[in-house]
Amino acid sequence: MHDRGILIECDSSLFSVSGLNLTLKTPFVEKRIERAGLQRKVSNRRLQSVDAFDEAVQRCLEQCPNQDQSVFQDGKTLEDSSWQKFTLGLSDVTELYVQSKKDDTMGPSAEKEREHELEKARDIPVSEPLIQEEKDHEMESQDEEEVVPSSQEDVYLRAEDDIVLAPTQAMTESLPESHDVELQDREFVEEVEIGNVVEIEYENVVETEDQEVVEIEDENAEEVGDEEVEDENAEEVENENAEEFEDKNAEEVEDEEVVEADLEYNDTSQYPERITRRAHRSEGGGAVLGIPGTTRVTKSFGAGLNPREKDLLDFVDEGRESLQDIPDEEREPLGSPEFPQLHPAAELSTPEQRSQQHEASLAEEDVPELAEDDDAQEEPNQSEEEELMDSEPANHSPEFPQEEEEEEEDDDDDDALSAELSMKTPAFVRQKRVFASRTAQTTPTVLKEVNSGPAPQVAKRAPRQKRQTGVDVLPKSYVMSVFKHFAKTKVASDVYPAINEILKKYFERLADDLEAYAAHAKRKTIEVEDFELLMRRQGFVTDTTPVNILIEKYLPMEYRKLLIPVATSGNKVIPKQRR
Amino acid sequence: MSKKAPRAALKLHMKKNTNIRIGKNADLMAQLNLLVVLHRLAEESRVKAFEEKSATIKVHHVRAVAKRSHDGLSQLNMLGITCFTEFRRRLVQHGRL
Repeated sequence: MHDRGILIECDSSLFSVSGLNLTLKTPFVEKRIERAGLQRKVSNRRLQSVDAFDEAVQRCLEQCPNQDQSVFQDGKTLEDSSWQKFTLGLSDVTELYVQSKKDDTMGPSAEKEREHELEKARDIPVSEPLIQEEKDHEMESQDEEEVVPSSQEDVYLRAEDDIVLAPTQAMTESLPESHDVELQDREFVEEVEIGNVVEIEYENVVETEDQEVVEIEDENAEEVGDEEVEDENAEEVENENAEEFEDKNAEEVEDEEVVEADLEYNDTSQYPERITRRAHRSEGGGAVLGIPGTTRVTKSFGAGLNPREKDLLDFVDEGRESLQDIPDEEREPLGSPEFPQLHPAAELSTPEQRSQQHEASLAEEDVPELAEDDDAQEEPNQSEEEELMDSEPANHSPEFPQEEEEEEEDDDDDDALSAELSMKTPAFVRQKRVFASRTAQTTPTVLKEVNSGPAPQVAKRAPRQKRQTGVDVLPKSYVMSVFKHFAKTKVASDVYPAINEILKKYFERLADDLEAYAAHAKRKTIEVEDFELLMRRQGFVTDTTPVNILIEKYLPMEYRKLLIPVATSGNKVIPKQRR
Repeated sequence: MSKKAPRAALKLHMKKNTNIRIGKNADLMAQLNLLVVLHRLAEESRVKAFEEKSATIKVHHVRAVAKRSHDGLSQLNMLGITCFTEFRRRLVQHGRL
């Protein structure tokens, strides 16, 4: 039937529209994928594909709630902001790196190109290695650290120092490509282990996390880092000073990187917090997280601050453990496999975790998953805190909507007016309740308690109005949704009262007509047959369009089953089922 | 996008005016009818909105359509017109009441 076709068309059109949005909004991802393809290094490609996939997945998830635009925009803004911020923070480090690390194996030109392509990917690994370094505070993987931060900086500071780019590029490039390369670099730096760790982390980071996540992390790190930078910088400086004399300049750079990494790590660990902050400060960052994310973050915002600080301290002192914890939360297991490779793992795991966390936070789904991922991850101090925070807000957020939904559903069932009234009051009442009792309690009981207690006045009003005949109309949400679906164009919400009036009259007429039909059939109850006759009279059902067609077209499955007798296994249609 | 309309509300509506009883699945049919009618109403109002070159359906669009269709529906039932074209013809005859 044409009606059916229309319905189908609507769906297809909707899908196509969404698809268009996807394509329009996902140029960023596609470009990256393309770039990844251009890259010669297999590892890079692999990483990119994973990242791109993750990003795409996140985007899809984000798009579902129709937050695509915000997500994409945010992603873009995040990138830009992160870069800018990053440059600010890493300016010093880059310089140091430039001096110490010109020996990097990777050619600057080649790497630059790659880096540009892999900007996002690098951000993740760069941030991670930096973070890792901070934790270590050790001179380990100087090369890696230097390169990583330099690479990060390079990304931002491309215009500034080509040399800096070279080492960073080398780092970024080398990391994904092969651990060996990094090892070579590390030769410069006496400590080889660290390099491996960094490499692994880098790889893990790149692989596991989406570029967006990385960017966000960077941004977070940037933002939070700005605050913490001061603290960390002081620490870094101290570390640097102490170490400079001890080891090569590379070490110093590492320290700086480490410090920065710590900052970053802290930022990442506190990812949920950071994200919210960004939301407040930066336009793009906050939106990316989406509504659910922000809610979660905001809730834990206060809690996060403290742990963040603690994390900072931890980073300064130990740092590694916390980093690892955070990655644990992240869902991507890529980091975990890498960990075994690098025994130190702490550094690597943490950045990965963090990156993962970022991704998770971005997706908002990952938060619960984050806890699952880390296997080898070490101390969960920081991550645990964050996890708890994340879980708590997450718990709260789902509870809250659940509560609301429950109430709303009840309201919908009732008369529209009463439903509306009850919905209004319970809404903020619910909110009060939710905030008051964060602990996960049986929602219905809580609701009942709250409803009964705090709003006796409202309760009085609700029942009275329920009985009013003027309120007897179908629920607004249902009616409007149906109308919009049928209309296929925008419908002003003002039409609802008019539709209500129409429906009221319609029902009255309907009842009268059906009564007449039943009486004509000498029955006292209105049956389905009466309706069939009605539809025939209305012209909806003719000789060519049986009633069942209409039934299938419009009604949901459960109702259809009731109306249309289904052939049983014995190939017998039992007409009595209809009644 | 088929949702489940609250059967209780539908039943309430039908029983409001009359004290006659409703069959078992009759309210489902009532929902079906409601959907069909709403569909028709929405389409007509969409057409009307197009006439005014507005992308969104406004209240006056719907009202204008309802005025016509409601009387038409009742007329249709009362006159026992099964054919849709005839229904329209009747409406014209009665001056688009």
